Amino acid sequence: MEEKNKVEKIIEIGSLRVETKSKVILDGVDLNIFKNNVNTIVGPSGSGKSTLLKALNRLLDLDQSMRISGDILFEKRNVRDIDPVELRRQVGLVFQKPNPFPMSVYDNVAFGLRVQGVKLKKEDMDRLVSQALGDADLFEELGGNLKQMGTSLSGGQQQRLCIARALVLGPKVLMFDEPTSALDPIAKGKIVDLIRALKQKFTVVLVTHDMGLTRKVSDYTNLIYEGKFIAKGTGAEFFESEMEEVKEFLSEAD
Amino acid sequence: MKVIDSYLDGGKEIRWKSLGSRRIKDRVAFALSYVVLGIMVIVLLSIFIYVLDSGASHIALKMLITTGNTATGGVLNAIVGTWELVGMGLLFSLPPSILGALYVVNSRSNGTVSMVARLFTDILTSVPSIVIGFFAFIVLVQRLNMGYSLVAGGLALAIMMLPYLMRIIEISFRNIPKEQIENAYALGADDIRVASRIYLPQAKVGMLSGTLLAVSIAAGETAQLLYSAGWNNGFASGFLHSGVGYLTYVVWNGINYPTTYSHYLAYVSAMILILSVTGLIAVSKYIGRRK
Repeated sequence: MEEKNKVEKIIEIGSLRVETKSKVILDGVDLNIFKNNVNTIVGPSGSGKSTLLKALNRLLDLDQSMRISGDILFEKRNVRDIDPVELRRQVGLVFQKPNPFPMSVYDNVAFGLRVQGVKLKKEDMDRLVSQALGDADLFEELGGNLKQMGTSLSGGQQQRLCIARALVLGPKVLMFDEPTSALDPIAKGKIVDLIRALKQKFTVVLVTHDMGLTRKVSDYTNLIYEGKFIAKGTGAEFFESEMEEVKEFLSEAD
Repeated sequence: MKVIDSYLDGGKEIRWKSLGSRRIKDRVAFALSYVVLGIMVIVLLSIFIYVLDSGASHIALKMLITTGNTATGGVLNAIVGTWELVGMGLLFSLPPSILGALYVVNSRSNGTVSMVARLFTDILTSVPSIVIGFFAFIVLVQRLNMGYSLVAGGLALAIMMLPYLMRIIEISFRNIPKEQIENAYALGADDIRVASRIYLPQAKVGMLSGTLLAVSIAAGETAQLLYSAGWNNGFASGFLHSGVGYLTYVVWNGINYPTTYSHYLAYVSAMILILSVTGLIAVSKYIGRRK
């Protein structure tokens, strides 16, 4: 791995605060996301991890009760100045629970392109869909049958379908919100391999409370606790940290 | 600790209710609900059988293929008029219901506006139909000078159909998993795309069965049509300034008319109404179940 201080930052978060009327969810978050690395955010349930991801692609805009302050820079541009549709194309999000749309595998993958009004020739669309499914390690498993319903696949396959659906838009950043928590160990293993492979082409942001997964894939690990960032470090540094919070979290998570 | 002790010794300290008394209560409750159900079914069936029997025993082909008033001739004008009015009502109520439901379920909508919209639709469902009819008469028929007409009648029906439709459509929208909606936004869909590719296709079964229900309710309305559609011994000659015939009018007026034939016409009209409404509800149930 190259030297850390030379790695390019693709997202810079400064003093991010998210609150509803009744509670503060994120409280002064400073965090950098490094390009072509797996950036992991760990923390207990309810610590604001998912909210952070939704702030990054402005999905929080959908919830009027959320008040957001602070800055999020994507490639040095404030996300507030980027059209949400464009932002979400470049910063993809894979949700915790696999949730394919009730349509064919093909239509699921093509969904993003279609809703963004991309006009493609049939063969170009076919190629993109197949490639995304291939990158998500699903194409061969389906034996080329892309007409079956996305909802008829197994849980692990559905999750990889959701990854393909995000990949096909050619995002620069791909965010995963606890992608393995709903999956069995074998399906989980495949996602782990996939995340490792994906960081060659994409920047990965991974939210999880699975420390095993973090150990396996993380390049940069950040601990979030009650809406604040407590500790950050590269893969090995983090696990050897002497900070009380990190030790406590690690002992409870393992 | 005392509580823990009482669990550990097999719950001896807890005074369990005897199974016998629970079983008796269970039986009584079941028996009562069967009785109530039985009464409802008997009432419904007797109306059904009475109407079908009176209608079927006096039906004549002439009644179905000719037009006329409620004393002579047939009810073809009323059959056609009923569906014209209901169709017109649907035309005026379905699009705003869908748009209204989309607005209410959208998380970025103004909360106050959504609340007011919901409040008004709730109030609207409880406004008596005769009041809607009176409103239609003063505003549509007189002020806006539509006269007794298809448009005035359709609008009067639409006022009644709108809250039902909007509520049912809203419910079918809300049955779509929230994650799917979020996911569509995350893939870069805007509000219009989310509506056209997620909400509408996935809610179409609910929307269809809701529509059929609203249609069957509207087909059985009388009061607001008396004041807005008027009546016509023949077919409506246009959308405005031309009364429309409808089946419920024949039922209402035919029974009051002192000839046997007009009574027969009323029976037959009631039968046609009940059969078509039952058919529509059956279709909507079938579609709903197939989902």
